[in-house]
Amino acid sequence: MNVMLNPRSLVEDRTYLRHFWHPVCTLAELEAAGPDGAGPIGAKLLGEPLVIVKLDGRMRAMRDRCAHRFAKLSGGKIVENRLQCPYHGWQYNADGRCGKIPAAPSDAIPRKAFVPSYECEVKYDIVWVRLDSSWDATTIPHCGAWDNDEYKKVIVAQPYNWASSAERRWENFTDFSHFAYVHPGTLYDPAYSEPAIVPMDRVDGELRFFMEPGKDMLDTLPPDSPLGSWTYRAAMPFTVNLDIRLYKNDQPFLLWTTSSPIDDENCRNFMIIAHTDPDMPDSTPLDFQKLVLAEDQPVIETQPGDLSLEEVSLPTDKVSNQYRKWLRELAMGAMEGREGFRKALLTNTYESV
Amino acid sequence: MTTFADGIVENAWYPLGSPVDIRRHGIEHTRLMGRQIDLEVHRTWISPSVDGQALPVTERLGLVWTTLGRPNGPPQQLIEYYEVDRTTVNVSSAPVGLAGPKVLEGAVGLLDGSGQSDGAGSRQVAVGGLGIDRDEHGALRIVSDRANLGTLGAELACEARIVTPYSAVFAFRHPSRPPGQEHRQDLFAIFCQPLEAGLTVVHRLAAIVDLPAGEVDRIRSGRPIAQGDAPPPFETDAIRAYRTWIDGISPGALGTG
Repeated sequence: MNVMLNPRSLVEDRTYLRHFWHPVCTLAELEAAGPDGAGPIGAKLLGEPLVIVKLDGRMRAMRDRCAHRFAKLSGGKIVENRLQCPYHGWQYNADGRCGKIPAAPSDAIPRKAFVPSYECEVKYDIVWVRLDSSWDATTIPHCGAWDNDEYKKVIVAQPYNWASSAERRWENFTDFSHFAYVHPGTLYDPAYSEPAIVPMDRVDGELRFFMEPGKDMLDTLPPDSPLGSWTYRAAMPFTVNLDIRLYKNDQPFLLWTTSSPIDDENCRNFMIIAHTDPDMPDSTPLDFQKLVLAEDQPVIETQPGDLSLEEVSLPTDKVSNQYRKWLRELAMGAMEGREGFRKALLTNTYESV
Repeated sequence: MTTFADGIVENAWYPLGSPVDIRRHGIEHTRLMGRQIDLEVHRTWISPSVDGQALPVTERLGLVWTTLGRPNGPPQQLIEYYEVDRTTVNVSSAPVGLAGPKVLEGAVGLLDGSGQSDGAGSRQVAVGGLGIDRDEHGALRIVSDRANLGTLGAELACEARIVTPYSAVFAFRHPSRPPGQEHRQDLFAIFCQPLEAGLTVVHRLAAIVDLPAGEVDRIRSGRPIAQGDAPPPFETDAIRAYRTWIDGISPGALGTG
């Protein structure tokens, strides 16, 4: 068999991802989409079209298909505290059940006239959805910037889409050895192409590790580069809370990112930046991140979405190797059911202590 | 007695232990070829030194490695270890009262299966089912169809590759492996850390494709494999080949245990 033509997938079945919370949009996007920040707005998560809308004072996530002729409800509007389909005006209640059919107002509403709804929460000014809550084994990932007085500015960036799987984007964000090649002079000095092989812990569903780039790079990198000691708390499967202690002023700086899996080949990325300088315009850190992303995106989008077992790994790929092993264990654990999944996710292991 | 003055021996990389064990147990010192090695643990690496002089260091195969000499290259390569669908197990690190080359001699004995003799003691026994040659790098290669790797399996088809008098890699197929992926081998490796003449820490690791979770504990809890196993009391083809090979690269290395 030619393994390059028929590469084995790291994970054959991605349905385990439905048991995690994923972000789908920001509150700012909802504000832009409809009056009172209530939406509706369309999103796509793991191939599933969703409509996000605020009804009865709570954010809701439903399948974005009217039960009647499958038109997208996200193109509709809120009428009488119901979500109204733009095609024939069917109106859906907060629980997803149809409450009004204008074309047959006297008839009983069919029991099948509903759209599936999913668990939906707002945290960090971002809307989160969990497609399958039957095992209730996961929580919304930690963000160290929120409710933290140490930070004077917390910026929820505009989400951006990449033609890349969420797994690839996660690996890109945590990959030490690409800095010297993709970000020379931006994030890293090319002289530091061989990264340290760091201890990695699994704690409460997070992959935790620490990285300490060379301090002498301060002389060669731009002042906006967040060079410092980097503490990673990476909540599986797609979130990274990167807590930086800047070398230049010993102040904290936080980069938080989550990739949301639109489907197998596309992701939507959410970023929060937090820092301690109240006078710094938001455009300064945002523009620097745009520069970094513009360096990454054209490279990462050349990769196939699927992670393959045929890819050659090195000792210095430890972070992505450990990440891949855990993804695989989660997928295999989920095949065993709730307990297998919980055990794979929540069994702690330590290398650092 | 093994001489540490041997250039091949001095200029090699040696493991000092698992970084996890060093951190977890707060290990601050170890020994290598009669010298005290001080270990300083940082958050991202472990720094060995001797008499205040920092030593080269690298982390490979789940072990911290250093050298007292000037090696030509990195520690032994085993790229398969990093394949994502392998379970890697630091089986154990334990001291034995033997020199590294003698440890390997015992390990070579595993290739002869149970090593049963007819009670004749020291007479030479030719054991069938072995293939012996050297690869393009001069490493000794011994192929057996009846190796006994303890908790990793018995009566196994196995290929041993011995690159230095202090390390050996055994490639085999673990009995737990389901059908498929026939071209891939599971791995068991022995890396010796010579503390003093006649005293060695044997670091043993395994890298097994799709190992069932429960097997890890079983492998660790079983009788240690190739940890100071005495070679059989007769000279088999494998042991004779090993002795010939080692005499060629490091004469006298097997002089005493």
